[in-house]
Amino acid sequence: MTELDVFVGSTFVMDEEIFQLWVDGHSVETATHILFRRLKDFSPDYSKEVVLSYVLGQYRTYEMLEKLLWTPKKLVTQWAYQMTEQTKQCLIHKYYDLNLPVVREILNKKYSSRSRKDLDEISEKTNVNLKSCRRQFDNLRRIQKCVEELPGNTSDNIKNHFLLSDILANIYAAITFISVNRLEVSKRRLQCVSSQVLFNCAQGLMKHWGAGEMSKDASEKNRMEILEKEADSDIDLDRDFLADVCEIKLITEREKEFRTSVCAKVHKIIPEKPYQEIESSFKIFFKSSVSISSGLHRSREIKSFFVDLTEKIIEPLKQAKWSKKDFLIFIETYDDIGAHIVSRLDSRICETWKRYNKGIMLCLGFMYL
Amino acid sequence: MPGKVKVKIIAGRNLPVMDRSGDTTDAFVEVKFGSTTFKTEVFRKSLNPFWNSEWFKFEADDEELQDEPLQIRIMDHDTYSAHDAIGKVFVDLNPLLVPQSSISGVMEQSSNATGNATMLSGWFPVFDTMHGVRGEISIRVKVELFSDVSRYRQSSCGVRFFNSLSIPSGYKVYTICGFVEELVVNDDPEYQWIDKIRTQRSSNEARQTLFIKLSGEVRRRIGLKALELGGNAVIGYKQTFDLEGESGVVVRGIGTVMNLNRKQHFTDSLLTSAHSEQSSEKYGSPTNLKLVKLPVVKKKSSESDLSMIPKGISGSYEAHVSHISRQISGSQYMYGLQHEMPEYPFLTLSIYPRSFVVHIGGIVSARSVKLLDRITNPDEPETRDAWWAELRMEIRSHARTLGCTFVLGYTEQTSICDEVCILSASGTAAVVDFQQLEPQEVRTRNSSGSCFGMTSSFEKDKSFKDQRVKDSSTLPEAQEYLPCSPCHVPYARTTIPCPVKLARCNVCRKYKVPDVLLATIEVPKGVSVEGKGSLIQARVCRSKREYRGGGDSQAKEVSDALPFLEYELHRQLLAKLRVRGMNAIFGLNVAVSIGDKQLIGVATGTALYLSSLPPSRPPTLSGTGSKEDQLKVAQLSKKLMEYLIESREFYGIEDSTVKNLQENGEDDSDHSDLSDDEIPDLFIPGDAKDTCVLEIDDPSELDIASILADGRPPRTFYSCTTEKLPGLNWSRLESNYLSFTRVWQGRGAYSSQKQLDGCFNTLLQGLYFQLRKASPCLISGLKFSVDLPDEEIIQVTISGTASKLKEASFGQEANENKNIDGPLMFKLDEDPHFREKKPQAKMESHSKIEAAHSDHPVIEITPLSQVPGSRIDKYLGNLNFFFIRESTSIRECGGFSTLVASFISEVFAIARAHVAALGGNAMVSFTMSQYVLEHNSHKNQGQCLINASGDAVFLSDGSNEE
Repeated sequence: MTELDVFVGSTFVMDEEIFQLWVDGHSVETATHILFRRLKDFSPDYSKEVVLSYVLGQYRTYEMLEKLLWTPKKLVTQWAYQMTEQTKQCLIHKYYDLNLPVVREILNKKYSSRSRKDLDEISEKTNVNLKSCRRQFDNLRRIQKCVEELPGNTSDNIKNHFLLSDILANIYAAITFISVNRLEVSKRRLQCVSSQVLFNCAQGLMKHWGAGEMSKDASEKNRMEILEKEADSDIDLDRDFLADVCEIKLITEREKEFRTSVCAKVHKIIPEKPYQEIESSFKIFFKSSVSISSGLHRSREIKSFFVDLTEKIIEPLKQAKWSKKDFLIFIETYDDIGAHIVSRLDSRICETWKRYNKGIMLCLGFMYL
Repeated sequence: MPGKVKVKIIAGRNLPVMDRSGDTTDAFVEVKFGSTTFKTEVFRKSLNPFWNSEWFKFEADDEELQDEPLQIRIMDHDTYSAHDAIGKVFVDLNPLLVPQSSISGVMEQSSNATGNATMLSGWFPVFDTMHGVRGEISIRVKVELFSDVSRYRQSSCGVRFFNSLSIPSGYKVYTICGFVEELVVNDDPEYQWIDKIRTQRSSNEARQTLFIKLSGEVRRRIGLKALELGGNAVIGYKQTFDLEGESGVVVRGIGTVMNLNRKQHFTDSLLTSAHSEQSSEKYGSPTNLKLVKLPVVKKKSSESDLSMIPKGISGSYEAHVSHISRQISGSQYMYGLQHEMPEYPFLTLSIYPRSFVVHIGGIVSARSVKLLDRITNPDEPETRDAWWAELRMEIRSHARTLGCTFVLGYTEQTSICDEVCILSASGTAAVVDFQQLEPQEVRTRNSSGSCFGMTSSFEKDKSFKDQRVKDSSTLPEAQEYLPCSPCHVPYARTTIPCPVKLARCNVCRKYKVPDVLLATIEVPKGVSVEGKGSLIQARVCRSKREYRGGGDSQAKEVSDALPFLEYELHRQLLAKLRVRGMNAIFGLNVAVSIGDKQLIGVATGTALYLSSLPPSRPPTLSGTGSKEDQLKVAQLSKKLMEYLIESREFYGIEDSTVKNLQENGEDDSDHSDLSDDEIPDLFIPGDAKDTCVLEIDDPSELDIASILADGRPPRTFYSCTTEKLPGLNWSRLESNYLSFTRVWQGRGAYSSQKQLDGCFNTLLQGLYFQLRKASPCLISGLKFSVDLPDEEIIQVTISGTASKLKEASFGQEANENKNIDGPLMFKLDEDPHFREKKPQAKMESHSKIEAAHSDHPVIEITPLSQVPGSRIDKYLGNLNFFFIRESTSIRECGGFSTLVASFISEVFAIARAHVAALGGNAMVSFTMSQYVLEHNSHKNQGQCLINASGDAVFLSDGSNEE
């Protein structure tokens, strides 16, 4: 019976295969079985006992490394595991990698110990090992805890603190954004919206509506104000903006102007038959987009932002048989013409409308299927 | 007051959270040296404090500087209760005590007017015995030694220590002054009454500090002895801790004293002139010395250029040092005259310069069983000294019996169980030629009278030998050195007590060689080896009565059992050697471990085929009994033959039995006039005394099965205990892949041969499996050690290093081997497995080169004295660490294996940090011994003690191989 079995090398050599199995939450037995089966054909000399001892050792090392992986910066500044830069990056990348179906399930959970306990349901549903679900859950929680309070661009913050790749950092930033603002994404209506679409929307919202962001066409005065606010994070929505946004309902007075101009332009591009549909349901689109804006100063309404978009705009238009292609042409035109129309209004309203419209059109563009 | 230590604490990082409520720490640092302590300010609420303290200054005398470690303790400030300890850093100042100039060999580095200021600076892991590494601290340490001319007489500052078992590369030996040993005994704090009331942390720390101090003391005393002998360095230095339990702790050190200098382009005669020029000017300024550099020199030494690598050493420095060493060697010469022979003619190195080893007599070993009693007076460690003296005398007389003057590759080991202790000493008896240490020009001069200390004593000794062994007068002392000479016996068959079969050397066909050669050292350079070497191991287990307090009877039983154990080991080893078709074992280590219920002996070495020795005959089986038995015997014989044929093919050895039998005829007629003895009756099969006959009483006996069960490594691996694989050119190694330590403990019965073999074979397979991605690779410097810490537990530790082989050079290597070592059958690239793994291996090595470690530099660690693919530019000092790690929450932190694994990694980490702080990038001759690995699963408790040491060096690209 083995009491102690340790192999320590002066250099840490990563076995990507075993690490992946570990990250995926497979048990030592499963991993041993997989490795043994794979190796059996071309190196039959090794007994299962030997393979098991190896896997146990690898798993042990990864468990020791895990503490460092929680704060990847420590992984870089430690002496104990000498490894190449490549290995470090690979370790971090694999450890923080996400499984989208699992993430989709976790998205609307609070990062509490109670929801951590409920992860087994997710595990069952997604057919992903519970350990892997827990790891992803913990990673999300850890990253959120770290960057929530940090000023500036969240994606950059994540990159700096967790040494993640651009792609992964953007995803984590989006998830954190959804989580911090409690955006409802698990409603049945939204089931058909993929995680990737949600991330894209979240990134768009952070970019256009986030507190830390400076809009490009902001006036000089605004710029100063925004500079003062730079200590804010783009993870938080710009409260001032949200308070102002209800003022854009003023444009309802100009619905007719919008309709004629937009429709006239769209008509030139889109063939007659679908155009009829678009023209007849323009009102739904216009009214809904304005009505969504009017509630955004209430956090309850922000929560249901994605639901509202689907319920009030996407679904009715789909019923009206707008195709995605036509829809995209439409919103592009709407944005163009709208900007032209609102420019004749009060400059503040104009800016607000533009900013609002950028966010909402971006989301609609991604979400409309 | 010859030294000043200055310490500056810069910053800390990644410290643990000590204040749970605020998730922060209020850290400050205590710096202690000797009895003086300084403190930094408290840096509040930060896990990454920045103290940037003033320079704390300590004044100390030499003895303190050498014995005491600098102790840096990081604490968490607590206003209301006692401050909490975060961890400690121990800094051994010894590497700083060697004048910088003699480390680097570059004069300008010591241009500081005061002389020898050197610095150590870097991030050190903060270690706590209860929690392991907890963050890092950045410190700077300077030592200023005052130039004191008489300082060499007072203390041993400046004597350099090397763990390296070969002459450090880039250095030249002027004199080998002899063997040094020293031991210090002390009470072990663990066993003192105070330990019962102290916390574990303070008990561990007290123990750790004491052990470090004892180790410093041993080293200092050895240094003193070295100076007495006229040396300036101790090579092959080995330090061991004997934890005798109740009776205390013994720290032992052995080594070889030498007079070393950096290699340079000066011939001896020029040095003399340089000396005379400079003699009036003691410790002359560098600019003056530079004038001595003469351009003529290079031409003269062109021959030695091949073996010496000039490393931009300024010749001026050399003149400076040799000036000192000349004085010393002068006195050494006197010493040599007074004493005919050093007390113990032992050398602890295992790799020697070409032609240094004239003849190898064989392995000599001595063991004794002692009963430990309480060390009553630690200041007089006479008992232990006397014990070792007995053993050394025995070794010496064994060597003389073999007609040898020296013992090479000398080691000492102990195994302790309760009160009973086995002391073992072993080495390789040999005849050596000290003149071979000198460059060619000097050697010729030497014959005209000007010789160094040991050379003269060697000559004295030769006369002694002449009297004793008449036959040796025919030895080719004055003749040209033959490359096969080390294989020739230094004795006559009639003069030694044990029966030995002699044959005529197959290379020179002049002198006698034994049929089997065993040695603890590496294969001497130039000796022709056929095929490749292979790991060979014999294991024997003997059960004994359980220890019940009767120390005397226990000791007697052990001592009675030892000869049988050794005989059995020897028999097994030879049988395994035969079935491999080989005839010699080098790098052999025989270790006997004692436990409560059993004795385990393990002999590990590197088997190989020496061209000059007679080919080994296949082992024959002899069995008596029923027809059925005979049949089984026949079957087994067949299997043995198959194994032998496979082995030969595997290791690339030609079936030379055939070859030799053919050649033997001519051979006889050609040289019959030269042979002064009848041709030994070597080829008569079935000789009753022949060791290769395996007698079988019961064909089901597992003996043969065990021999056959010894798995060969997979095709893409070579493995050996020596630093270099015999038959494989060092230049074929590409890079150091990794060095490893494997510790395994098994519970249950490992008392039968089958179980024991199974256990070791599985461990070896595990090793190959671990390293499969490095293949094709060489696993060298393999060391096995067995401990029996508990009646039910067996602990096996394996350490070694894996080096990658260059792939491109396979074909080339085959040719190369053909020229030197004869035909080669073994071709790796024909192996399908190998081909399959090729791309993977390539990728791995590629990434290694690309590696740019963002923060810490890459520090290689290897148990070998060199790193493949690199060259040692500088030796930065010898480092020795002793650590204790304990945990009372084993289960919570992942089990005992996790504790041990993380502890070993941490020891690697600390070693690396020290090397980096000294400005090095590798640690060579690294050894790590696990002394105690105790686990009590009921109490959820575990404790480990580790001692590690090695030479910090600076490597640069390129090979060191001569």
